[in-house]
Amino acid sequence: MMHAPTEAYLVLAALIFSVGATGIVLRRTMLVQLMSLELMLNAANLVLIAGNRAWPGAPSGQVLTLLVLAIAAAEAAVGLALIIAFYRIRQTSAADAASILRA
Amino acid sequence: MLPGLAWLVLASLTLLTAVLTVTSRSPLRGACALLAHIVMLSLFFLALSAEFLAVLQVLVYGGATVVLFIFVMMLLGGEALPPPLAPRPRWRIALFVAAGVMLGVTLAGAFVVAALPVRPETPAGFGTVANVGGSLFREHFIAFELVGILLTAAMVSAIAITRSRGWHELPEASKASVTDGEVAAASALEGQPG
Repeated sequence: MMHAPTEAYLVLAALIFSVGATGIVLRRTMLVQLMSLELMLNAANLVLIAGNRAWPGAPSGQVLTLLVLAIAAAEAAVGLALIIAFYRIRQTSAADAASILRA
Repeated sequence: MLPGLAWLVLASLTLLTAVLTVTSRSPLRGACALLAHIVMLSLFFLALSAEFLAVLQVLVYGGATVVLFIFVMMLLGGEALPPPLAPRPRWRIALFVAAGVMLGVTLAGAFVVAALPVRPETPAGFGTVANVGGSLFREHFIAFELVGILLTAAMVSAIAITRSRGWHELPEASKASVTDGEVAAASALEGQPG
């Protein structure tokens, strides 16, 4: 066990989450945006696991992490399918090209 | 002292790989950084005595999701992605050195994690498959069922979204370069009048 308080894990998770959020806002490639989304989900997982280690009565945090893993897999599958479908229409994967609905 | 130092080094490397995932100009390099990030995060899971989740993290994220990302990059081809940076030899050498240092520190961190004793206050078998699975199938069974439905819906919708469109739905521009024979073959396959 590496001795680190739960707060250290929370800070680390917050930093990872903000890196992912920054990536979604700043990057213009849809693939990189999806990867940033995975980073944010990973940060949430780290918080759940660290919280469960701090209160180890029942493994509910780990079960929730398992469910988040499944949701991340579903999100990646649908997101990548959308990217492929979008590429078929516009021949690009830049998010700025998705402007058909712009008023 | 050493465990705290190892934690700090591992945490900063995890953060560094997260930043690399976001800032890499080539999405393929970003995916590789994401893979390193996921493996290092699983080390943290090990340190938090969630052994089953650590294994599952590498299996599901590293083995399925990242590979899916790289697969889509391959499917889209190079022209869909932004061009890589112009080759700069010094920068490249620095990248290789950083990757080597990262690998070494990660392995060292794994040994440190494996060697240190577990904190006594966790109940026996805290992060094992039996414990997590028992809780999943007793207290969280409805959530498990719902996630099953969600995964099925995601799979069906992914297939529905990426299914190649019928001939009658294609834009006129892409029909121009197709011969009559191909039109007839496509119509026969679809069971629709050309």
